[in-house]
Amino acid sequence: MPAEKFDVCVIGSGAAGGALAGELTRRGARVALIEAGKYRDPSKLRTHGWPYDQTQPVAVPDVTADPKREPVTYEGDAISVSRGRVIGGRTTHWNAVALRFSEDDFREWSVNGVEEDWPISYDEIAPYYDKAEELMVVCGTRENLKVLPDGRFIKPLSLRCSESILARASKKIGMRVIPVRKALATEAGHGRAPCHYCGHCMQGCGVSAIFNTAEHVIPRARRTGRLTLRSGWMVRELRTGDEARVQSALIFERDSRREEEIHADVFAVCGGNIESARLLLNSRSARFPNGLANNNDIVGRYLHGHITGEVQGYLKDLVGTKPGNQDGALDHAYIPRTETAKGADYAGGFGIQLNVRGYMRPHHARFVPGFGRDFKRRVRDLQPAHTSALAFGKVVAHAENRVTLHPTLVDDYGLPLPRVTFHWQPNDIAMYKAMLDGCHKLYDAASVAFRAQLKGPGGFASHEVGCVRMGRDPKTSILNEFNQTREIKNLFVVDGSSFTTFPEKNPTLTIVALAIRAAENIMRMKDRGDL
Amino acid sequence: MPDQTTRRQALVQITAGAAASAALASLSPAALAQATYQPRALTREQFKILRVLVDMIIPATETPGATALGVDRMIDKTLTGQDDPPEAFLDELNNLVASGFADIEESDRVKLLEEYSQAAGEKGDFFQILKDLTVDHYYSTEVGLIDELGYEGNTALNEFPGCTHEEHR
Ligand SMILES: Cc1cc2nc3c(=O)[nH]c(=O)nc-3n(C[C@H](O)[C@H](O)[C@H](O)COP(=O)(O)OP(=O)(O)OC[C@H]3O[C@@H](n4cnc5c(N)ncnc54)[C@H](O)[C@@H]3O)c2cc1C
Ligand code: SF4
Repeated sequence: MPAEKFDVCVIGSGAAGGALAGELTRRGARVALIEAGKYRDPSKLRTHGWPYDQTQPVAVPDVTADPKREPVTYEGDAISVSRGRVIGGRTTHWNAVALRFSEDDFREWSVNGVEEDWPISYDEIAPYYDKAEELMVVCGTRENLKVLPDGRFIKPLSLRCSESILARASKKIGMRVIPVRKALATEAGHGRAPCHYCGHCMQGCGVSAIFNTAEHVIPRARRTGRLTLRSGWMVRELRTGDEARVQSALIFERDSRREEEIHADVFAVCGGNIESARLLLNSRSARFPNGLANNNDIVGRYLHGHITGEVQGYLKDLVGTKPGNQDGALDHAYIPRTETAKGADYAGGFGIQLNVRGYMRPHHARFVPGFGRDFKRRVRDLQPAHTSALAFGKVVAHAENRVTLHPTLVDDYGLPLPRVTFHWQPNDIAMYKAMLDGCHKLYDAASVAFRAQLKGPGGFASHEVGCVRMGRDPKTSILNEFNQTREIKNLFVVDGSSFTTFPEKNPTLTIVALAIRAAENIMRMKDRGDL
Repeated sequence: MPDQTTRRQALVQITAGAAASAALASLSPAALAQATYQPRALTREQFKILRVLVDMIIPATETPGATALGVDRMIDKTLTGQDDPPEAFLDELNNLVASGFADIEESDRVKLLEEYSQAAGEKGDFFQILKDLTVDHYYSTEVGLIDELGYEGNTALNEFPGCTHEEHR
C-alpha cells in the first residue's frame, strides 16, 4: 500500500504551526501536523497552588525542551533561547501581549537607514492582523498611535492603582501609559472561559482564557477531519531527491525512537526559530551539503530578539496601604515607544510592560538594605507599593549572530546540538542604557520610596527571531515575501525565524498573521499548480 | 551557561525553587521549634550559627521570626540539594563558628552582622546569600506570605475592579 500523501506537512504546533495548520485545514487541505511534545491538560495544572503546600514549585518543566537531554550550547554574551516541547508550543505558557508592528517597523532601511526593509508592507499584512486578532481575541483600547497601530479589541483590562499613578506621572515626561493589549478573554462570549484574575498566566492558564493553539485552534482543525496530529514525534530531517524538492520528512517517536516517513506536497517548518534553523541545517544531502535552502550560508544567521532591562519601583503614594488583591492578569498596562530623539546614539525604540512580576512574592526583600525589625517592617510596608517596569528594546539584526550545529555534541536523540553565538552590538548597548534611563525617569516622575534595578541586559525574553529571514535581497535572505524558500519551492518557514528585522514589539501576533497569510498563499499556489 | 554563572548566582537561582523546601515545613511552628533536627548540609556548629543569623535577619515581631517557621531547616535542605556546595558561604559560617559568634553579646553580634551587610567581597557575598535564602524561604511560608505581608490573592475573581481612587489619576 503506498504511504498516505498529505497536502501539507506542518512541523511544530505552536503559534506559527498551530495557526498555519488551522487555516490550511479550514481551507480544505489535508495536513499532517508533527509535534515533538505531547498534550498537557490545562485543567490539571496546579496554577492555584501555594508555595507552602506543594512539593514542587508551580512551574512547567514538561513543556520545554529538557536542558539535560536536549541542551543548547552558547558562545559570547549571556543570553538564552527558549524552546517549547508540547502541543501548542510556547502559547501554552506565554504572557499573550499582542502588538501590531507599525508601518515604519517594516521599513528600517528606508526610515532609519539601518538593517533592511521587509519584503512586505504594513498595508499588506494589515488584513492578516485583523484575522489574527479575531482568532486570538485581543483586549485593548484604540489609541490612534502611529507607532502602535490599533486593532480589533475587546474590553480592556482595568488599571491598578500603581498603573494609574504611573499613567499620571508618565505624561510629565512625554510617555503614555495605555491598557495592555493581550490575547486574553476579559469577558464571556468569545468561545472560551473569561479570565479570573489569578495572575498565574506564565505558568499556563488553567482555564485557557489566554490564547493557546492547543485549546483554541487544534481541536477545531481536528473537527474538519483533515488533520492528522502526530504528537510526541519529532522531525529528524527533511529529505530531498535529485530535484530541488522536499520529498518527505523523516520523523521519530521520542519515547520509542521508532522512525517513519511522512510524504506531502508541501512542507512548512514552524519549529520556533532556533529549531527551525537547526532542522534545515540538519537536513544535509549531496545536493544540499550546507543544509536545505542554504546555498548562500544565511540559514541560522541574523539571530536576534529583544534586549530587556528591568527596574522595580515602590510608589510613595502606596507605601503602607492595605495590600488588597492585586494579582490580576499580571501586566495590565503598557508604555509604547516614544519617538527616538534626533542625534540619539541608537536606532529603534523600546516599550515598557508594567507589572509583569505579580504580587505573590516580595521581590524587593532581597534588595532592601539591612536586617532585623526595621527591615521586616520595611518589606511589609513596601509590598503594596510594588510595581515593575520591564523594558523591551529593539536589537539590530547582525549576520555574525547565529545558530550553527555543534561540530561534535549531540542530544539524546543523536541530533547535533544547536550552538548559539551572540554578541550585543553597540546599538544594543546604547539602547539598554536608554531603556534603563526611561524606567528611572518614570519613577522620578511618579516619586518612589525605593527602587531596585535588576541585573542586565537580558536577551531575548523568549522573543527570539531571525535565522531563516525573509527579504528582498537573495544574498542576505532565504525566504520570499510568502515565507517560501527561494531554493526549494515546496518548502516554507513560517515562524519568527522569518522576520527580516524586529522592532520592540512582542512577536507572536505578527507570527500568527504571517502564518494565516502563508496558508492562503500556499493554497493559492497549490491551486495554480505552482507547487 | 554554567561557565558564566558565579557560585553566588547559582545559589540564588536555586532559591527560586524555595517553594520546594518550604513544603517540608508543613509542621506547625511550635512543633518545628521543638523538633531536634539533624542538619545534613551543615555541621551542628554551622547550623547553630545559621539559626542565630536567620533570626537576626527576620526576628519575631507581631509575627513569628525565621527559625519559628523552620527557615533554618529549609536552608539546610536547599543546600543539601546543591550540586556545587557554596564553599564561600560555608567558609564564612566556619569563621563565625570559630569566633564564637553564637555566644557573644547580642549588641556585638548586631555590630558584626552590620559590618557584613555593608562589606564588599566575600563577607558581603556571604551576607547577601544568607539574606536571599532567608527571605525567599520566610515569605514562601503561609505565615510569611499571608500574616506578615497580608497577601490576599491567588483566587478566582469575577471582575478585577482596578483603581477607583480619584487621587491616583
Ligand atoms: C514565558 C513566556 C512568555 C511569553 N510572552 C509573550 C508575550 O507576551 N507576547 C508575545 O508575543 N510572545 C510571548 N512569548 C513568545 C511566544 O510564546 C512565541 O513567540 C511563540 O510561541 C512562538 O511560536 P512558534 O510557533 O514560533 O514557536 P513555539 O510556540 O515554541 O512552537 C514550536 C513547536 O515546534 C515544536 N518543534 C520544534 N522542532 C520540531 C521538530 N523538529 N519536529 C517536531 N516538532 C518540533 C516544538 O515542540 C514546539 O512545540 C512568550 C514566551 C514565553 C516562554
Ligand atoms: S489571570 Fe486570567 S489569563 Fe492569567 S492564568 Fe489567571 S485566569 Fe488565566
